[in-house]
Amino acid sequence: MKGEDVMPQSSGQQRLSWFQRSERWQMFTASPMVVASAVWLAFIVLVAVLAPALVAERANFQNLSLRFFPPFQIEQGIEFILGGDSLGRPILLQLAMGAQTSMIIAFFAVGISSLIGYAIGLVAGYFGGWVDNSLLRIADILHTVPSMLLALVVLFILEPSIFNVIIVLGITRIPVYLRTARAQTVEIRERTFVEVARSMGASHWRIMTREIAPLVFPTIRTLAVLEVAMVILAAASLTFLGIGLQRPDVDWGMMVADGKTYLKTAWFVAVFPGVVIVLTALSASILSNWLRAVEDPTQNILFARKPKPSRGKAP
Amino acid sequence: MSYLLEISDLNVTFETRFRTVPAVRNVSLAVGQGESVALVGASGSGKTVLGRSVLGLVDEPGVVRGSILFDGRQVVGRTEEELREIRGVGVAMVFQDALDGLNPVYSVGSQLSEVLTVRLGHSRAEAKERAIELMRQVGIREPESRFNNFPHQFSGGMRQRICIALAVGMRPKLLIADEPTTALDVTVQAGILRLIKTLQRETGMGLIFITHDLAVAREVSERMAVMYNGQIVEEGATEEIFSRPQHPYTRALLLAHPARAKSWRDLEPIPDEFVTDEPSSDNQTVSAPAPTASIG
Repeated sequence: MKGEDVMPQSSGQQRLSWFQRSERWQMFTASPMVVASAVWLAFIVLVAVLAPALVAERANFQNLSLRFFPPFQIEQGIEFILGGDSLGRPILLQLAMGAQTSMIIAFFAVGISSLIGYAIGLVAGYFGGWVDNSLLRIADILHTVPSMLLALVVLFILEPSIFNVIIVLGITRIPVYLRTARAQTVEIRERTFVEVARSMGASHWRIMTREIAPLVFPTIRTLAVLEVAMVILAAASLTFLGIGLQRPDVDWGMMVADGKTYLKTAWFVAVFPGVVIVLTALSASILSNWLRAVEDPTQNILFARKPKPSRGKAP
Repeated sequence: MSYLLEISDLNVTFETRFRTVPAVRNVSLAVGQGESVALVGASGSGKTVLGRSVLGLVDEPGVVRGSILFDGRQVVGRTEEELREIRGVGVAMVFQDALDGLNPVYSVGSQLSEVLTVRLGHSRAEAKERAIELMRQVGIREPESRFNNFPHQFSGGMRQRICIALAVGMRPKLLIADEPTTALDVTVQAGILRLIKTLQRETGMGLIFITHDLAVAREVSERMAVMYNGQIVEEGATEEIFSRPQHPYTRALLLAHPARAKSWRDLEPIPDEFVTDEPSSDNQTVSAPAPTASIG
């Protein structure tokens, strides 16, 4: 922890340079993939926040003469650089609009299911016995009912809206996290440091939250990030069935679903949103993987920058 | 004199639907204030289960019957919540597996000071100061710079020292050390034993030292109890037992100990009759064959 020993006197400039010398920053800049992922995610979030205020009107303006306008041409202005969709809307701006919805759905649906699954899994794994059994059976039931069917029924009864899509997707994905968290908890609870904590009078709550939960968390986070793409696409299939989002709301999954029909004639309508989904999911995954490795004190040495070999010598 | 810990007629059995395995049978043992008692026996003789039962750490399907009085208060049958008043501040335990005794995600110092803030209500600054003090006490060099290190940056012996610091940090009245040196090599072992002795002298706590190593038992204890097959077969002053063992099993144990032998030919293996991987479920006292050699 060399970088953390020297806490400098606070002046902005100094603090910045101290930060740049800190181990974590060095580890961050050492891997270009990680930097690229972070930049991409930051960009998407920025777009998600700004786009609706700036381009909402132009994004939804339909100009049928520009239907399937081919991409990479700027005669119609920069907004048609990625082409036009089936109703002549600019794909670039649609993507920007979709960023917000997709981010909101992915963030909250994954957040809800991972938090609930994480908590229940910890409790089930830690206490075992009938608590464990009954919680697992509930998870089984949730798992065996096809999530699409459940979503269909619920959204048929409720009004289709972003909020309801989030709730449905959130609840149906709980078992994934529950099982993982439980399996890890069962393993960790047998370790000596848990025993030590107990022998020193730690309460169940403290053992669960302070001793076990931090060791389960990295797995849950990795899983959650992998689920982001899952959820975006699941939302798209709901939309495809007509019970997800309703226009003029748009998300990336919906755009893929729209474009699917025209894949032969106008590939770009489906491909660009697809690429954006993949890039976003990939970035999140790379970033979370990096975080996991960096936070693990036994692994983070792998990311330390090797001293550059001096010239003329074999490394 | 009233005892610090009084165990009487303690039975611990593990009861599943299909069978019942007794681990501790009719054990009575008393430990006085500041006294050190060694609990000796082969593996599987019930030493560890006995130690854990004092802290109420015997889990399902284990069933504890009998009486354990600590400081005049009954331990058996208490709820988890009530046991917390005893654990740590009354009785502390050092476990065998030193390498896994600390949580890998927290720094060593934060684990030490957390216990002090949570259990003793120290302020953060106080706790840190005292944690460093404790680290120094258990022989960690340059504790200030090692305070923020993580467990994997410590050697096995140092981790066990930290575990001991955790246990004694709350100034318990009784320390149960469950084979604290078994996972460590011999040179480190000597240091740990000396440390425990010193700490015990300084703090005046009682000590139950669980071990299968007779030499270790002799070094740390005033009194010794020999366990065999879940029972205490012999109990008395340590030196007394070493010079005049009464029970055949004790005699066999001593004959098998290398420290007494000039050459390996003098060593006597424990007779087969005593070797039990599984305690037999009948309740009779062990009848023992007489060892052939006499003890000099």
